Amino acid sequence: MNGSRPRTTPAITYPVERGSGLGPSPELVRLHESGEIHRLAFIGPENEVGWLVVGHATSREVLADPRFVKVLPEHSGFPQLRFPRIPVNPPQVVNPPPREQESLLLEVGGQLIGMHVAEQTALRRRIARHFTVRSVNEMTDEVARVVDEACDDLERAGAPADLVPLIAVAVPLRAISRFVGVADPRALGDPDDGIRPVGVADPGVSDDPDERSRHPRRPSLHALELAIAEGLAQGRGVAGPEYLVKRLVADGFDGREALGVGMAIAMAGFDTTAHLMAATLLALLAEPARWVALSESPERIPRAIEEAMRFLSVGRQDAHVRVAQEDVVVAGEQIRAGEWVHVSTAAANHDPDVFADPARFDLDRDASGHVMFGFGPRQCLGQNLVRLELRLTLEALVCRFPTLRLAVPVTEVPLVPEEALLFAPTELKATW
Amino acid sequence: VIRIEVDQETCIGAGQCVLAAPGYFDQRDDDGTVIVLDSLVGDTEEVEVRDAVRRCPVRAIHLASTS
Repeated sequence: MNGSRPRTTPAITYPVERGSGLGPSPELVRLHESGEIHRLAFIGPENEVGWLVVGHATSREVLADPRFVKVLPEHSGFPQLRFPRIPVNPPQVVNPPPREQESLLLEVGGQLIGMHVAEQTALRRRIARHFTVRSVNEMTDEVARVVDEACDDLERAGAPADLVPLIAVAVPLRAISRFVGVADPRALGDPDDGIRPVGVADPGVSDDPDERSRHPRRPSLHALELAIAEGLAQGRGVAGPEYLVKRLVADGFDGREALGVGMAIAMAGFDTTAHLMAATLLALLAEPARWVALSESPERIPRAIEEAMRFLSVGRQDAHVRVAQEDVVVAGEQIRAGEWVHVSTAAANHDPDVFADPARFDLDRDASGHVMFGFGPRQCLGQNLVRLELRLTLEALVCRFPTLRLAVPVTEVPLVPEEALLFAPTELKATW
Repeated sequence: VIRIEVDQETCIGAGQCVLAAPGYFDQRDDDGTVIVLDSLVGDTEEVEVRDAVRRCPVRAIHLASTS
């Protein structure tokens, strides 16, 4: 840091209030009026002031620029974003998982989310063929079966029923389990546990039984690894012979490497998608006319999904924290080497210069180009699978439950705690 | 006439071009990177091809004017 540099007054201080709507904090959105990038004050042990990017163009520029290096939340000095209850000092891992499993996940799978973009990109290139549009669409029948089962369960439950466990959690859990090759989805999660808020006094995944019993919702890394290994040993029967881990081994990955990737993809593809699906259902049911419109014209569903992604921006905001490796000028501001930059993808998706009247949820808007999945070489690997899951789920629901509607006023739908990193309702009682 | 140029080295196989303009882009089976099906863009499809350019997360697609 250059000591002679004048400190301008920060435009915003973290954490910010979520606000009453389903979109991002109004405090963030208001910043568009005064520029693409702002000084940001946050609670952290090393730097008290960093930068916040809200503009859509500048967000994409920073996220695609290798001079801005991704930093994981475990890094000391990581800024607090919107979760006031996490201690200022880096949280201690109370019960770290056994070394062996930790290294398997972090060394292999961790490369996919880790700090080194060259390493991340190299591994991504080796597995990208299994995430192409065509490759993911080959899962259509498999995912459609999962969706049908979930709709059967909803029908059996009878109205009013909670869409969170029955649909929003059940579909992503079973779909990602079959995609990866997790022999028993219960190793990853349980629909009855509902939405697991992210970043809220998170005990992490633990193999300590005492810790698990206090937080029964968290899966055990060990159990997940075993369930994937079991799927690999069976060869068939999990999702057919073509599931990811099996295909990676056929590509020449050794078993340990394939397991690590499988664990990372299973974990990355479950909670986030469940949150997004729950939030999307809430947004669509919040206005009864939206559900009617989609049930009358299901061909509008793909656009509605992109709009829900833009509007809700259900993405972990701590995934978009970067540190400048050198001095860089961004949107006319001089960012110094070592300074923190938070790219608010939620704010970027509400940039009025790109998305007119951004606070309006518009089923027919062309929301393509939104950055819910990030941007640059780290953009979400599984985004095409997420789109497939959402589309098949909504198509089945509007067809089988055209009169679906909330059973409680929208203002009474319970949401994840304010400090959670991902937005979602925790219960969605609906009737039909 | 507009011609599509792609940077195979930069491409990460995200497939966003295929979603935007399926008539112009596909992905290779071996590494997921981009295949250009037709490098000359017709007038009626210019919008979707420009959408593909915009959506590419690593900016690997470029348009060049050609006579």
